[in-house]
Amino acid sequence: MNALLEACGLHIGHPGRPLVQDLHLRIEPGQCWVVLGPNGAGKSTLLRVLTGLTAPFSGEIRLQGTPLQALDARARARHIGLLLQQGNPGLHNRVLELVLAGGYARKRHWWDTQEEMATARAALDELGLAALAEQAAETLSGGELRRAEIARLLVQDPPLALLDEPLNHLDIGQQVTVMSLLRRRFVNARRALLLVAHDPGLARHIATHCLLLSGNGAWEAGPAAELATAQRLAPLLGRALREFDTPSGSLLAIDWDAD
Amino acid sequence: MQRRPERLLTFGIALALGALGIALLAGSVDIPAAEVARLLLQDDGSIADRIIDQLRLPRALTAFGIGGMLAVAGVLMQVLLRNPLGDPYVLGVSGGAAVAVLAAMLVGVGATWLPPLAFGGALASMLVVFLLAQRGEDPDNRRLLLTGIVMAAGWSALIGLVLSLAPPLQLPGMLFWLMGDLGGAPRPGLALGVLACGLAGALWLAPQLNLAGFGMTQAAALGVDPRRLRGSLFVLSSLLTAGAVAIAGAIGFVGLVTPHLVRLLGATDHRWLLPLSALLGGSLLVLADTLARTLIAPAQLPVGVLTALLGVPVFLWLLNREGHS
Repeated sequence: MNALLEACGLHIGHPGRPLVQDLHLRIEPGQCWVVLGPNGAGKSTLLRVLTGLTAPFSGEIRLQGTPLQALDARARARHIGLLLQQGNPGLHNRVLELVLAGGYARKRHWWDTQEEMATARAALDELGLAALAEQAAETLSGGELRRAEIARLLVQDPPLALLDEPLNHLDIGQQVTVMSLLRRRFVNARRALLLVAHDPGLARHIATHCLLLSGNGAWEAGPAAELATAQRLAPLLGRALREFDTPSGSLLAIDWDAD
Repeated sequence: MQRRPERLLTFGIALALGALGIALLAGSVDIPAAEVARLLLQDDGSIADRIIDQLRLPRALTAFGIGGMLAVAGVLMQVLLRNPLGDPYVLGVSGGAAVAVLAAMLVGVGATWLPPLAFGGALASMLVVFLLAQRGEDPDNRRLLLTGIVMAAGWSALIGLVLSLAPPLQLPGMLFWLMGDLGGAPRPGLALGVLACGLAGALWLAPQLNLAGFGMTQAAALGVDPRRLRGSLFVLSSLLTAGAVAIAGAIGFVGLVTPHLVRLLGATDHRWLLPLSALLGGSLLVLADTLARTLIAPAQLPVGVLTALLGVPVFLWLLNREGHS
């Protein structure tokens, strides 16, 4: 069976400043990848390259066996979804319209069908935003906008979703709710997730696989059990990490006092 | 504030019919409403019949078509540039047309040649801007906006040059053209035809226009081809603008303000915003043109002056009301 995404020999960066060199990546259904790396290491750029929005210097990307360049924009959006790091409420639209936009890649009619409306409202409901559907999107708080954009991604419903710091602006309770929703809708449904995050705890407890980017071209990819350890992550993050054994497994936390 | 778009559309159609009715009734010759209605349906060859059929109706329909074209072009330009100040002329399309027309007037080219010259000038300016702005990545179209604004500045310098060289007798004609004037030969079929084609094309793109509001990067991630959308928007809005300018000169304000008026009334989905803008822009220009030819009759004012005089208070009132609610 074809991988959801396969990248071969990918070179990414800016002229004179390579960020990722010769990357090989294979994402299979049921996997949850967490990408870690310092600021400016090329995490967001990698996501844009994998989605086909920015061309890599070289290398090949295949989505379910089809070369990325061979897909038109709509077909591409049916294979892969992207939550950008920076939210955007749009120009003048309501929250419901923001979420409806997720259906564009699968849209068959010029108007919005009852089914599309129902899907969008259901997605809003899943993220606890049903009451805000008719509100102007510009009036949403940062965390509400984040959730509305995740609802849009649920409507887009791609087999592989790339999310750039999806938990930004969310309170702790929402972070847990949203993560478990994403796992249920993607990882447990034989789809896949790739998240950019700064929290080593996510890599340890949510990820099945990790991709570590150092920002100088070097990278490491592999099962989370091997990579998401205090020993392996500390040099990448430039800070000491500690592991705490608890009844439900070991926790990974940053050492705030070490300097 | 969210109103049923169907109700807004009914309002728009009623407004357009009302404006056209007023345009048919108003004029130096007093023709009662019942007579106007009868003459529209049957021709009797009377003077009143000729006034309606050959003067007022063609001029009103031309005004409606031009107003609609400018309003639709304004919507497209505001999406293309992601800028509320976008208007059909911001990228220099009208400047190219103006320089071609004024230069032709200066050397004494006949009036029949002016519309094709205006169209050619507009297209030339549009091509230069598009080719210059094509290079490199430009997700927010800032490069396009800057290229267009600089071109427009260049054109307006050339306009100033031609005006300062022109003999005093030619100046009023040139100024009328620059401000926009519907006093020339009316072309109702052409104006309405171009409006219908342009509106159909814009409506075809409407679902993508809704996505473009979230930024071109996000729209691309959702399935829009940004290069193709940008190209279509640019070509469509430029052709509409070039067509409008060629028929009636550079009528200002309609294209900038109509889309905002419609949004303030409560329509933001482009599938509704576009037809409503066409109706409202057309009506606004019909009313402005009716005033332009009746206010100081028998003399006429350039309609561009009146679009602004009418549009500014209406717009400020709506904006202010929005702020309070």
